[in-house]
Amino acid sequence: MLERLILVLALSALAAGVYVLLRQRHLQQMQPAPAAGRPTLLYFRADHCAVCPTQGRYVEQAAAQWGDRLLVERVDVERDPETAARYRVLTLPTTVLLDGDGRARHVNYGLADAHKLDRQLLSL
Amino acid sequence: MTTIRIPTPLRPYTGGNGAVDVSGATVGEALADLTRLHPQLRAHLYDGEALRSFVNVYLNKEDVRGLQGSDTAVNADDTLMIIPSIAGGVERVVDHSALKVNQAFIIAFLLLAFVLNSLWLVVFVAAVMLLGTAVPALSLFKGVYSRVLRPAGLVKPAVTPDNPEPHRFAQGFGGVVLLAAIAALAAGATALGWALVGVVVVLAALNLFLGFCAGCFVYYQLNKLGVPGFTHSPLQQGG
Amino acid sequence: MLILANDIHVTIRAHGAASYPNEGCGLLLGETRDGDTVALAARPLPNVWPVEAEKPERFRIDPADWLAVELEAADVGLEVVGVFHSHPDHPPVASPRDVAWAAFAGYSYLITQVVAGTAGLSRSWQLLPDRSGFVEEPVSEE
Repeated sequence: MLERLILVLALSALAAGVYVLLRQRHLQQMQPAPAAGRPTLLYFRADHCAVCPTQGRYVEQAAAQWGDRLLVERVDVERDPETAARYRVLTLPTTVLLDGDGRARHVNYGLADAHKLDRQLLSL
Repeated sequence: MTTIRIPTPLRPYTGGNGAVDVSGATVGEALADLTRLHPQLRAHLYDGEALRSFVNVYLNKEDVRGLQGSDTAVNADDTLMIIPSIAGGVERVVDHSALKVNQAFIIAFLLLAFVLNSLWLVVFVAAVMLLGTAVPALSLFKGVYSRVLRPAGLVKPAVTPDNPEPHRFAQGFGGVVLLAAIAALAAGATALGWALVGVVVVLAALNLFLGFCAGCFVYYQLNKLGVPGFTHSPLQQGG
Repeated sequence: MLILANDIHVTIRAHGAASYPNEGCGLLLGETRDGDTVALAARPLPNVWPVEAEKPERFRIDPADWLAVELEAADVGLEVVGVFHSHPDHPPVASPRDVAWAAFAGYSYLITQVVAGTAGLSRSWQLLPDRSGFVEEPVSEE
């Protein structure tokens, strides 16, 4: 039983590690945007995405909180597939945070709540 | 002069008149004359320069859209009627917190099953998943959420407009994979059996942690392909 | 306020129950009296929502059917004063879709909850003049 427990823990750690590496690689593959001088929050959504209304509210909250210090861009992946492809959006909703130089520093797959976005924005 | 019949809720803006005589050679001119005589009507009938999309104009019982639209000619003995379109409906909703609790229990019990090398725990999870797919009201783990976790305030509800069917399909699919795993384990193919259990754990984890429901994705693809039984299309959402 | 005779309400509830699991719909006929809506008759109409599988959550009234009821009402000295529809297994609360696809403000919008084929509570709603939402209006059964 102990070996199996260790195996589960090891596999979980491995899976978490692989996920972090793949996410890092995903960020590096995103082409830098023009430097905006302030952080940008890119929010990829679509009409059929069930959790997007909730994500939309969190994005609004972040926009209201940060005001002029943050650029917020909503991208509808159906109407703007090129931008979605440029950031290799896989699942919806996806939020990408760019720093002031236009480099992608954080990507969230699925719902990112207001606290998470805030934490990530503070780190930029 | 042509007569325009006024719907009841708009009569306060025509001084109570249910019918207004207007001049004009076309439907468009007649409506323009109407709003000239009763300017308060404009906001209710028009959105900018165009008639609001739910406003239909009938010329002697024919929708003018099937004639020449606002250029349709009107004569002195014609009657125009303003008839609204109406539709509506409810949002189908899914509590996403219930789904996440369900996924968490499935992952926890399956990992426990592997650690304890217990076939019976796998059978238990498969039974819960398949029963919950067949009769949603009998979902055990979701029942724990709605009867214990949510009332106690330990988990906040996340009720969202969504179709329940793709999630049911995803759970059913997971249950079927677990049946295959049980068959493999019972037949002695332990590596294959636990690998199949691992597939269900990974799929549930993708859903729980990254919000990606592989089963829902498959459901909507089958819906797009018109496969019978997969009747629900993705809902239009805002946000 | 919507003043609704009991036998009219019975007709509306029966139509909602008969339409289950689909949404049922129809028009209220009557008059306006001192700012109140007085419903004197109810006309069930076909739910012509184009996708059959979505009828449990969607309804649509054909304008041609509405026109026929307007003319019928005029013949007996009544007017179309409201719209009724049912919410299968959902509370009788005007939803965002009901707001988006509503007709004119000023009609009484009566919604009846139907649970598992049995008609339940009805509540009535008035669309705000700026079409931003509904406010509830009291229903008086006389």
